[in-house]
Amino acid sequence: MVAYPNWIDEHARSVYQAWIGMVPSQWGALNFLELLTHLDGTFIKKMHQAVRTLKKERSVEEVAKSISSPSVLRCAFWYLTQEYATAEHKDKATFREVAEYLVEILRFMVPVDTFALTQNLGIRQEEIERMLKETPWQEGNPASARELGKLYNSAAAVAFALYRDFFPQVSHEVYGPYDANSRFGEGCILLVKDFPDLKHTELWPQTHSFSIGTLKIFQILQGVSFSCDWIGMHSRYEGDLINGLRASAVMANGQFVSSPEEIKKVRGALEHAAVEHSSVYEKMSIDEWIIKTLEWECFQFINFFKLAGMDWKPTKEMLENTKGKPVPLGVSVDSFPPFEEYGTNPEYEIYWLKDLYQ
Amino acid sequence: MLNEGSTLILKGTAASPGVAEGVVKIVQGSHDAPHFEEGSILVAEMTEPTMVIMMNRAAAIVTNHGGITSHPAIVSRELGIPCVVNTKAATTTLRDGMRVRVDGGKGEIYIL
Repeated sequence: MVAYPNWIDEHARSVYQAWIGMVPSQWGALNFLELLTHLDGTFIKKMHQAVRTLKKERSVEEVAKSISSPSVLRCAFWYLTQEYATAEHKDKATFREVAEYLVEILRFMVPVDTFALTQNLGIRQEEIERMLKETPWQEGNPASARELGKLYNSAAAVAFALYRDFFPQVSHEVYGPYDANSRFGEGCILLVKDFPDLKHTELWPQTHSFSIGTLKIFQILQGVSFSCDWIGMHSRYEGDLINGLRASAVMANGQFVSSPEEIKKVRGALEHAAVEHSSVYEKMSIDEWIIKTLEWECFQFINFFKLAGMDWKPTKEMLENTKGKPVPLGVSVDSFPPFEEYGTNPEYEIYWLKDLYQ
Repeated sequence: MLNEGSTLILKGTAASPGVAEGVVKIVQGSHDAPHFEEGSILVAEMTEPTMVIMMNRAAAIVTNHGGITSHPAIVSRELGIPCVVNTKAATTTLRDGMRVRVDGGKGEIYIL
């Protein structure tokens, strides 16, 4: 048995659990997993250039702050492993350096349950204590719980419209559960639903007129348990979210919004943005979708690249490697193998992660 | 199967608990929004962002595809409404105007 670091098994268990709950055949519009096979290590090369610079010039904390959420990094890491696993020209040393650095950053961002097997604790405890103490909490009731659900749905729809099936985590993260007993009594948890990038004109100039750029929903739930798998937004609950809402707060564009009328106004703006932007995406050609997908792949690291003094956009090599290549619509993966096979079969990326240590 | 004057017509994956009754509206995109009444049962092959306004008005959501962490499933849990995904045939078995009961805890749809 070849020795390899424990994080590979941790990562594999989380990814596997997430895949079991999804139906990838409905992901679209473009088959990003197929597009990754054409990159042949060119995005890994761009990442490696940034990693080399950042390791020398920046602290882990600075680099961690450049990534919008832990789920972004978990997904991006998985996409990189897919690129490596399917690359015709594999550079083991380069990819190992990138992989180990990203795992180090992720461990810094989320010291406990780093790969989010059951929870997503990406906010530091001192920040949680501050939130519990200083947030202008509104008392919860079923009506406000339903309105928060609609607000959440509307923000999630904007994230989906901007980043589609493969990258919504760029602007949709759910953190928790955090113990809120000290402030709200027995059996209370805090969840933070964060939408950090609902408007970004560098990626989508068409969003310049959107009135809501960021949104946070803070919820105190009692008698409700929360879990997630791999990605924070993969939320699962036991208990009644509607009757279990004890308190909540909403922050839009960095300002707390408290009245029901204001919250409905924010929701209306998000609903409108989601519908409007969906038509922008739907009108694009397949060639434009390919370029946009490559931009998403790079955009999730926009501040990471900027910190390294690099242009965030796809490199010429990435564009050339994918130009004119067949990329089907929709993902062809309908099922997943047993876990043991997933971790040992060269058809899957976990084998290639372990191979880095052979 | 009979259940209090209703007949089980469709099964899928239970994605968000609760029971709701309403009139079926099959939707494909934002052009359906003007005809989607508050409290209707939203039925779609799969949900997408253009359906956001209708999802916010729906009493329950039923889709042909999706798993327990798919878009309709996640959002329905937040909305506190029942959801059944992966029915394979909701858009062909159900018809606009049908009155149905959606049991999101069991993954079952009954015609009333």
